[in-house]
Amino acid sequence: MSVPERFERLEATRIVADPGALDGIESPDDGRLMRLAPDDLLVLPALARVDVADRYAIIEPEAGFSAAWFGRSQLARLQAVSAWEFPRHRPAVAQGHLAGIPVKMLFDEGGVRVLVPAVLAHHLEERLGLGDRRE
Amino acid sequence: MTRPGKVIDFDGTQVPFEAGDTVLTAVFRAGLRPWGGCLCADGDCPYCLVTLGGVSYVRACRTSAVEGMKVASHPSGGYPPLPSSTRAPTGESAVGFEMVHCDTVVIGQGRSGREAAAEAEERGRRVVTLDARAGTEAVGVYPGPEVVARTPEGMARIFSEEVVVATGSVEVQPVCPGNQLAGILTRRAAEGLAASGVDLGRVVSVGRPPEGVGHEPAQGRLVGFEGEGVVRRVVTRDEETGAERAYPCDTAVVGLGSGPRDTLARMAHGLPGARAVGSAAGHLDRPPVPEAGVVCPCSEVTVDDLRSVWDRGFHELELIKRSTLAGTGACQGAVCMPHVRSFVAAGGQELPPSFTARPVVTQITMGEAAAGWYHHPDRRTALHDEHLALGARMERSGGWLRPWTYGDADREYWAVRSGVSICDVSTLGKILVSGPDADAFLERIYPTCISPLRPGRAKYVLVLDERGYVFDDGLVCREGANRFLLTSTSAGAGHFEMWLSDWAEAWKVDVRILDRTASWGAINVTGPRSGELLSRLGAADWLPPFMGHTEMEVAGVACRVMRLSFTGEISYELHHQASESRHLWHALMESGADLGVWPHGLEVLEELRLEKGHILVGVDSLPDSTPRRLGHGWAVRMDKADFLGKPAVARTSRMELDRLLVGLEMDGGPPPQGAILRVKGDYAGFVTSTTWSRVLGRSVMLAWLYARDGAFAGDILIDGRPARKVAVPFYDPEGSRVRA
Amino acid sequence: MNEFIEAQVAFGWEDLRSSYDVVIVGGGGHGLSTAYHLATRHGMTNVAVLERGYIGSGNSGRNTTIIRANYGIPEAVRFYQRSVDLYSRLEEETGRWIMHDRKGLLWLVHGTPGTRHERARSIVNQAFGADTVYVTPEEVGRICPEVDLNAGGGEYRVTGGTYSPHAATARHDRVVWALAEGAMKLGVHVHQRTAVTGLLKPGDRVTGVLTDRGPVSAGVVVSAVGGHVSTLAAMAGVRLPIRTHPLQAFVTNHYAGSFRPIVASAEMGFYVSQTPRGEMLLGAGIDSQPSYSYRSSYEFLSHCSLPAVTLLPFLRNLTILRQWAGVCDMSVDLSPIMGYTGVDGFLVTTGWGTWGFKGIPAGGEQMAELIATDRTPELIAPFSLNRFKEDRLMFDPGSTGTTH
Repeated sequence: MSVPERFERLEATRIVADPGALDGIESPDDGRLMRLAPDDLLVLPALARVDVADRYAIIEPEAGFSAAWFGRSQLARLQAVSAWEFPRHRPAVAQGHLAGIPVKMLFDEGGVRVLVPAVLAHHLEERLGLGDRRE
Repeated sequence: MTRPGKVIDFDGTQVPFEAGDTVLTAVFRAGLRPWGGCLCADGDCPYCLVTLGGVSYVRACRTSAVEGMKVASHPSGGYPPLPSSTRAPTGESAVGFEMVHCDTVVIGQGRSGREAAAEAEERGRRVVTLDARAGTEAVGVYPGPEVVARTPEGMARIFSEEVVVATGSVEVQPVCPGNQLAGILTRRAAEGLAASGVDLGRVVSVGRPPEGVGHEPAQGRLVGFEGEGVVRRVVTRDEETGAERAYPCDTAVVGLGSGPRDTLARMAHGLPGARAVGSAAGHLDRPPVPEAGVVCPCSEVTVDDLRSVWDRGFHELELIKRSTLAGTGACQGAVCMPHVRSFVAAGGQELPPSFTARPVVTQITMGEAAAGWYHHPDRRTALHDEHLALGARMERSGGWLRPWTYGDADREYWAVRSGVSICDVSTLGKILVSGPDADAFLERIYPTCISPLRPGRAKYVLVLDERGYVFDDGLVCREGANRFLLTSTSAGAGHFEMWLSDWAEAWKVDVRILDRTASWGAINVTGPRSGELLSRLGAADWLPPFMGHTEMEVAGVACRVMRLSFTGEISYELHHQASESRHLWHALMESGADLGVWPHGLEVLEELRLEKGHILVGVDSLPDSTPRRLGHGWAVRMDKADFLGKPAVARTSRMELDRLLVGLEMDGGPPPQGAILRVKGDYAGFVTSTTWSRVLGRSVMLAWLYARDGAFAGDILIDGRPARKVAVPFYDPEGSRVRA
Repeated sequence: MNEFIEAQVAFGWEDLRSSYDVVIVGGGGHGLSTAYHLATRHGMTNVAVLERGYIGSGNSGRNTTIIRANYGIPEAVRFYQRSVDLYSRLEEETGRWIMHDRKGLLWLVHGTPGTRHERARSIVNQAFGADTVYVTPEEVGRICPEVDLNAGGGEYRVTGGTYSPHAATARHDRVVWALAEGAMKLGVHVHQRTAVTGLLKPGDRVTGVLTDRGPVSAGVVVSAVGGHVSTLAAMAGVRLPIRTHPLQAFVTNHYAGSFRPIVASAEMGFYVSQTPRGEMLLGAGIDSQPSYSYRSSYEFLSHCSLPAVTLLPFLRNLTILRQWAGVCDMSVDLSPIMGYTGVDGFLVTTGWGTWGFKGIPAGGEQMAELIATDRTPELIAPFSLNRFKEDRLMFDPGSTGTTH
């Protein structure tokens, strides 16, 4: 389905560590790595265990985001509420605002996974007119 | 049988129209001449304004006639009335909105605009074209560059690398006696109407003649127009003999030259990627200095008015504009500006540049401007629906929507004081800090000693800025030798995280910082029976001592449990993954049902903390509150080597203390927040927090008290009633309850 | 005939002299008001006001013309109430129509914390002479029936507010002209197109200014500059705790019929009033990034229109005519800075943020008294530059129309 009903709370792993140590982490087979900052990595989905070559690394389950998948046919609709232009290469990662709400976007050939702070997810659902929350 | 033609309603008259007609064309076709002034029929002059669908200042020349359309001209000699409706229109479809991304925007689709678009496309650019005549009207050019347009679909914000302004030229309007009569057209307007098959009657042209319009050319220079309401004669003067001649007419057509239609070009000037082409980049055919007549029709300014202000010392173009209001009406100077500039130049100055070009050039409604915008997004905790299900009234607080009360403050209060209660404190700032320099870093951040803090222990801390003023407070929990959990106020969390990260970078310390505010929920379990409730949920083995913290499972949920107290009763804050908040909340409510567990909202929480004399930073503190002024000198260790704000604290500590946050109590009901303290009749401060204490049976307050002659007086009156200055906490001063 | 065409004021421009007792840099409201009060109250007329552009070309001609004293701290309430009083007498005093209209100000809140805050405002206002009362939603509806108390059914329902009947508007340009003309009539010089490029400071004392028309010596130099005040003060070796931010506004087209009072909502971030000519004039808070830019943004139109049409639905169909920007000198405590600078011969009146227009009469009156008597009047003593050294800030949460 290319139009999600709503954003669901995402289970992920967040690692803040020495940038060199984060460089050495490999993407899980069925997952994605999202480098939010040189020292900040989001791993999707959550990892059962992870080895980070930094004894001071902060490795935490991440429950602060909600996520939804939008198929390729929905990209134009998202672009129409974004003041910045989506990257054209794939895969791609971008951060910015959609309809005035901060998001992280993971693009691949099939579409885009949109991550939104869970505390703001309901606003983005309303603003994108998802599910039965449309006003 | 004749098929009834399509009609619009114009001021109550049924006006037929043909396919492709604008309202203006249809009105002219019907032989009506409702508008005085020289019509340009091209969106520049202010003469054909009408009210349509509740919106005034709509140009008839830019509005396509649609069957059944109801059009009203503006009241003559006045402005359209303010809409009387106090309700939002119902059933009105929302204004469309979209953001568009391309490489090149070309505004105007005349010859140079089409050429610019074609050239850009040849270069492989993605081009968006706007053409006011086709219903896509530019509103403004903004930094970015960003072009805003109104289209038949709604509003569009267009982001590009390149903006080409190709808006062409605007015709110079006549300024002379009689120029406000109806039946006067610019040359291009006459050509357009004639091409649409409109019968203009007997046409006299002055200046450059129109093409494709049967007319009699008037000889000589234009002197004025004559007629009653509608033009009947064009008067000219022979330049050589000075003889005047009147030409009878039904329609007067004026060809006085043109200037660049350059408002958008001037607006775009200086923006990277923006340029003007064609006539829009051209120069003005400077009109002769006006001698008589209306210069600015929008503000009804005559040449005599210009002379009047000039003679009184208003010698700047801007001062003339501001004193006469010429150029500040609906056409934004399109009619008057060339003439006013000529007028100023005649006063011995150089031709002054045009007024600053300001958006908007297409007058959108406020409803249209609001499209695509949103109210500030309030954050919601994971327990939002739980609060609503319990009947909570939600209030905005610190950027969050939080439960203010669940409807029965008494029940909420006594659940805390004599039983057990829970409170959603997920909004608290929660930040993890780890690294070899973590200890040293926090020693520099906080004005209190961090090193002696043992793992498993927590400490109350103030956060000072460089000026030594308190801007936040919270806890430091040591989790290990090099790892800490910090908390901050709900409102300050975002700022505090940036503050930490900025200083970590500035000092180049080796720490990792992760904000957990959104990822973790937090529920405060408080009241004398809180331990009992937690033990039922598997937390019996070892609950931390006061100001201690540990990790344990509660109801199967992994929690960081901190034992502290804001309410004055034994309290355990359960910090956990926000995905588990609902499960934990329901487990606490269900297991504690027979203990009378009931949640409390912010309203009661503020009473509870006030009884304990705990300050709320941002409510009780002011932006220049030093720890000493807050009575929190104990939270600052000046014997430390260094901490943020230390030099400022040292400096201000040497000054006489001018005000102090004090605890006050009084009999009877509480005065309101902001109530004024008086000592011997003089102003002595004001109340910052105030409540009736249910448990103490009197009113308690925190208040700023100003020093008098270097001392803080005790004989305080509030609203004429005596208030006693007392030490805080008001409730359980020994703290025996939180340590029990 | 347009009744709003200025028909009375006549300026008498004079040649620039090489020396004056007092040189005031900046021909905006505060500079001209200082000159006007020096001449009318203290007989000091060997005074020049130097203006880089034309008089009133800075924020005096760009503000939203609101006059009010509903501030949050006693010192500010007293000062602005003085200004409210002087404004109400300015037409009589100068014989010039400044379109002063006491239309009242309704300040709306949308929740319990805001309600408590507005109640506190009404208390400190009443205690220090400004007429401000706390009002319930029902009273809001009576004072301004156009307000949708339910805010379109959203989360911004009106829970109350304060009403300040004393609040007024006046035509900004006309205030500038009335003061300029009044000063010039008594012999004060006002010089337009005269840019100050430096200060004469042979030793520790400022003795005049350098201009693009030559040096001018002065007994006292007063900076009444807006926008670039930090640059001028730096020439004297004075550091000011000021950052400059843009402030935007817009007007609609003209409409017949009267809308009263002034309506503001700090929580939603806008305020609106109607001009004498019938335009609706809207503003919001300052732009968050410091800048000297006069460029407008479309986001501002959206950001300001949405709350406005939500609370006042009749605004929805009004058409926007023009938007513009000014720049505001924001002091760290959101209060003005008036008086001595620690450098002999150099005074400032600055930090006028978004409250400069409101302070024009009282600011000029008090600065003139300070110059004439060489003593700081009690009313502005709390606003001296020294307060930053002495750690007695005048932080005023009520100073800005909006909190965003």
